[in-house]
Amino acid sequence: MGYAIQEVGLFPHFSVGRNIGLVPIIEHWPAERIQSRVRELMILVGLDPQLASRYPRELSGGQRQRVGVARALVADPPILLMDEPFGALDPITRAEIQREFQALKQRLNKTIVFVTHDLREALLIATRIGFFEAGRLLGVYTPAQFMSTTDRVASQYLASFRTGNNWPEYK
Amino acid sequence: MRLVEFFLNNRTEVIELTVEHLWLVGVSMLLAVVVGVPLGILLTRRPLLNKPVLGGANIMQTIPSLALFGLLMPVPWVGERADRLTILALTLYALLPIIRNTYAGINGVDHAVVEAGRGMGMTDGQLLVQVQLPLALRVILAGVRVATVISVGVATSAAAIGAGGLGEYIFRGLAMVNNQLILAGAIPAALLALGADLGLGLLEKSLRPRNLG
Repeated sequence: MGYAIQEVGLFPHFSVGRNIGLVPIIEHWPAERIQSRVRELMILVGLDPQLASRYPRELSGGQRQRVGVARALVADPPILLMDEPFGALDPITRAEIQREFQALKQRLNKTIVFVTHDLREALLIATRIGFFEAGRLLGVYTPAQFMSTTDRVASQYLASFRTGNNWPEYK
Repeated sequence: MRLVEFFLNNRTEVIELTVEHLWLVGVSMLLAVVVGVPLGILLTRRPLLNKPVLGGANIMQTIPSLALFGLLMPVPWVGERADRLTILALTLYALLPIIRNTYAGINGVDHAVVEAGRGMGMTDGQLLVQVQLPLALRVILAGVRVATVISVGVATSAAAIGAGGLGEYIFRGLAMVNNQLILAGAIPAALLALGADLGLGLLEKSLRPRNLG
């Protein structure tokens, strides 16, 4: 199972290439296969393959999170678990990476469990939305269903999300 | 200077005592690392052992060195020879800084990194060897440095029970009220301690570039 978290958790003492390729290295893949796979994934997540020799501290937040996603995908797992992976990014980078991810997942053909507190992100990325409260699953909806649900808790949440977004009025 | 003359005239003995001193410190530090680092690692897995192990090592350090030598004398095999006894005592003294720094170093590794590693399917062993130990190495080494410097100092007391080392000169000088002799032991010992501190400090620094997060 592939795993990506908000803090990314890249190994600071390994290069980007080694971070991505860690699982293959542990499983003793042949070296050329590891190299080509790392390169393939870096291109897939939108990273210049030349960054493979850099270290995490030399990368921006967005680049680091892309490395995190590449790392999660390296062994081609059928399931990907992502826990608020884009939560720590600035809004602009975040929007960009969300759009890219939405395009990416079409090509991946995997089951992705994506945890988020951002309803917009969920509506943008998800094929199904699982709505949880206090650890209990209250319902599963398609994005369209969620927008028009009559369920009390879900529609309350939707309403407060819509009005809760601060957009300052400047005259 | 009379002291320099003394060193030149007695260089065989000075070298012999210095080597003895280094031997006592070297062997005990090796033992302390071999025992202390795994114990420190164990503490990170079983936090319940924290109090007894760290408490025990702490008590060892509080006991004055000469008293510790005396207390260890009845121990079979070890208590029979002065050098074995000294090595055991020095090892016990070195344990606290090493265990404590290993524990702190490993716990100090960014939790996100550990979580990511576990999520990727790394076993505890792989995580330890590939991630935690390399990242904790500087802190562990700092503990080794402190322990070594302490050891060099404590080893001077070893001469009191006949284990040799530079303390020989110090005790002889004290008995004969000969300041030159005392210095002949004290100065090399101090230099050894400084040298160990500097040397290990340089080693620590050389580990810096990669490990900065």
